[in-house]
Amino acid sequence: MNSDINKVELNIKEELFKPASKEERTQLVVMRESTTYWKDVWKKLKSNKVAIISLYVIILITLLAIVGPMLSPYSYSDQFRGEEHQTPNAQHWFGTDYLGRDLFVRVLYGTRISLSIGIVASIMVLVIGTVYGAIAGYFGGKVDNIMMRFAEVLSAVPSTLMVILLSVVLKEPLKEAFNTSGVLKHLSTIGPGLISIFITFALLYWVDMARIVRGQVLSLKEQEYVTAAKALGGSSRRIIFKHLIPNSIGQITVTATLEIPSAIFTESFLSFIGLGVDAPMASLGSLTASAMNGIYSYPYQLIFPALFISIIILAFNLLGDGLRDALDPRMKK
Amino acid sequence: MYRYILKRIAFALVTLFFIVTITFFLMHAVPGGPFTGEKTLKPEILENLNKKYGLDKPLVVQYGNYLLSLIKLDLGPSYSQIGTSVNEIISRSFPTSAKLGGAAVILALLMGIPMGVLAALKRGHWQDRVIMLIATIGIAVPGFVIATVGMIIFGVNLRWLPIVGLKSIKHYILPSISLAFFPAAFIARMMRTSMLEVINQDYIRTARAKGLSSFLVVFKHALKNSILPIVTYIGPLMAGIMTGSFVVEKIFTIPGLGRYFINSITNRDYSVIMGVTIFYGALLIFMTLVVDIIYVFIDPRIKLQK
Repeated sequence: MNSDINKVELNIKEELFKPASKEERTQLVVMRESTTYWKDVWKKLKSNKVAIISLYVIILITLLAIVGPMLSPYSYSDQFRGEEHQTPNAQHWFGTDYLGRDLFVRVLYGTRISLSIGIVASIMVLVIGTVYGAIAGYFGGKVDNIMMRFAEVLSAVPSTLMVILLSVVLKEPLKEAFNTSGVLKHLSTIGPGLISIFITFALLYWVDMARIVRGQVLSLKEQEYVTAAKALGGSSRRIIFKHLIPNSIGQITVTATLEIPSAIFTESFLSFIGLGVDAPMASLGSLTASAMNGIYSYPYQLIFPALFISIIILAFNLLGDGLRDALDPRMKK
Repeated sequence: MYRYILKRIAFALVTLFFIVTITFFLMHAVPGGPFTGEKTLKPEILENLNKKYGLDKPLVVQYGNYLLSLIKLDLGPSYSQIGTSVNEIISRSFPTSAKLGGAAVILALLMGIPMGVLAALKRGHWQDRVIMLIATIGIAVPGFVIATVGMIIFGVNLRWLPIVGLKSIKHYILPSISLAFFPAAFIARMMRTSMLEVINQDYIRTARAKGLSSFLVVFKHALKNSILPIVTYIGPLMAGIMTGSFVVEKIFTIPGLGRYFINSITNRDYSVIMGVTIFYGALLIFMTLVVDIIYVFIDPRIKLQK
């Protein structure tokens, strides 16, 4: 038996007892690369093919809308006598309209307007809704009760009717305000139609966002880190803006993204019934509407704006759905 | 439960009052009043007109008078069509819109619910993919695009369907499909989600274990419960179809209230805009109220929570 033990070679060498080199040390630490919240979201989003394709489509269309009109020899309001109602050809890729204006430029320009309407409206909803909802949720009790009652009444008001009404009412006074006041003058390039759309969005469409943020804040404010922040003497404002809102950023982003197509939709509807942007400016909705006048003879004029508007709305909706899955799996329906 | 119903009714009244007030003051905030149009009227005529319609009184008095006449369900006279009241305009053109809207609601339910159920039952198969593709497109394409494209293809090129007016059953096809497309797509998605949820419940497994045919399981057990969320969507559905009817009636030249409303916006007929807004607002609030109350009766789980 003794001899057996002697035969076993002890595999202990001196170098094993040397301090580990830097290289060895990093090999031992089994850890994933640290990731931030947004990196994580991006990773999840990347695995969602539909959402990624939508994102690329949106980027492509946005670039086209920004760069396209610059590269074209025509401007959106240039009228060419004798070139009215041309079908798509080498000079005018999408054809021309009843005033001989190049439809390619007009569609891209309209896309630019529609996209900016969507984004501006969404930002306004984001700011108003988030602050309103966070305040209601954080203070709770009576404040919450009154604020949310008011929001409930607003949301029961049929928004389309109010949008129509406000656009009708605001158009004239805004036009006057632009002409008389010097400060507001530079706003007149945007046009009273657009401004009244923004005002209606700011007044009416933030309710859903406020509800979502309030719900988030209600559950978040019971968490320990809020108690800790309070104990350390953090003011309400600090807690709301530094803790509660950043922690609900996922849901806020999703709602804001989905607000963009809904704003574009609303604007196109308004332009279609004759409110909305003012001529010679064009939005995708007003282009579709003006194509309607010659629909029997020149149906091609409808195709491109209709196609662009549908693709934009579709892409934003799909991206929003993808973001929802990536940002917060609990929201997945 | 009666407390809940009373509360809903009170809330509906408050909302309606809110709408009336906002509408009234907004319409009266328009500078120049209802008679400043392209042609300027002589001051004496303007004065007489204002006197006739009570527009010379202070705004608060006008508001009071308007509220009083609203209680009597009187929406006042039209300012641009002399001798016609807003009530007459509504009672003349609303039935057409209501028929079209009703057809669209039924169509939306008839298309959306079966699509959603089929997609849920065939989850992951090609049927599910095709239905979801249609539903996604249906949500993205605006109603007026569907209406015009349908009009060009089936009305102008193929000449299968009439495209002007609302005289026969055939006339209903294009407008009601264009109106129903978006809500049908929405309902299909909702129905699919809720069906998937229900189908994984224990009682469905029990029903299957008892040896019921899948037909019975789906139609007797699953459908009944999964259809509940759709009921809550009926309010927004009505609102959507109403909005849609504004453009669809314009596109297909249907003499309904929606088209009239749009025309009155272009003509700046203020009392008609005001009256129709309030009428539609009241209608929608009433619908939502009815749906809220019905929901309490058909979903016993709500009572348990209260």
